[in-house]
Amino acid sequence: MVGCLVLSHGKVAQAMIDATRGIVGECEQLFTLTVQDLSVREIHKRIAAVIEKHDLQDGLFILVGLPGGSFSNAALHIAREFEKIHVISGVNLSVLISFITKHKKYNFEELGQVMLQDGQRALTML
Amino acid sequence: MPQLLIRIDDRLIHGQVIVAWCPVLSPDRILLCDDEIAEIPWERDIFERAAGDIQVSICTVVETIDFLQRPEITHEKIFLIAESPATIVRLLQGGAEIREVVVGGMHYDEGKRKVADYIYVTPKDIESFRVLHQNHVKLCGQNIPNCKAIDLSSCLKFS
Repeated sequence: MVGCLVLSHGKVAQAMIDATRGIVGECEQLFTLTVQDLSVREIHKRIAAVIEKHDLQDGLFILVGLPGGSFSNAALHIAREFEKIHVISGVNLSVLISFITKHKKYNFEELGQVMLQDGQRALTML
Repeated sequence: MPQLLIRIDDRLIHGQVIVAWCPVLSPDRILLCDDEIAEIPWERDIFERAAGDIQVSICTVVETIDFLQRPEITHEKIFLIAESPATIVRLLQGGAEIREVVVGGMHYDEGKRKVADYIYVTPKDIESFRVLHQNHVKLCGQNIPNCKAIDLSSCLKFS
């Protein structure tokens, strides 16, 4: 299956996933990892554990908050070791909803582009 | 010799460094001093990308000592980042002029002793800090600019 892992400090990632489930329902492809004050090496290890635990042969999107943050650095490290991983920063609810509602319609590469478009479209002055 | 701001942080270039410290310090350049990363192109790429618009140089310890002597960077403000105090000791022993080190993040691992919420040290780290202290290097702990700095030498009972 294709998966989506949201990384954050504190409880942000879990809260975003809970909010997403509240809107579109359960989704077993959505994972979260919330850590506080860990080295990049330790974050790397925990991401690898999530990947090993799940069957993700169709690909994995790793979603982080900040480009250049410790999560994005660790995720980019991991992306070197596994095929079919994309790291997307600036995670928001629209990206998550896009993933859940569209992952069956597109292949991995197309889905990444669609998620980016949907996430970017949501960031706007209303 | 350029103006040197030295930070020990095991996450190296990351959010706190780019979002919190760089706007306050306005460095001309981030100098990441790390023997391993300097030799691996894709690791270099990750940390160069992490810094966004800020100029980054990634050097081994030996290259760093040499780099700091270059005439073209004499007037620069350089934000030097290293993973551990052992690296700073090697810079000092190699002839770099070091007056102050700010420890911003040495994270928990098994067998480490807690000094502050963001500083955990091994016996080897303590020995490195001791060498720095004995060489009159001021040791502070401060993870982000709006958090109060702590005197690391007194926390480690050197003074």
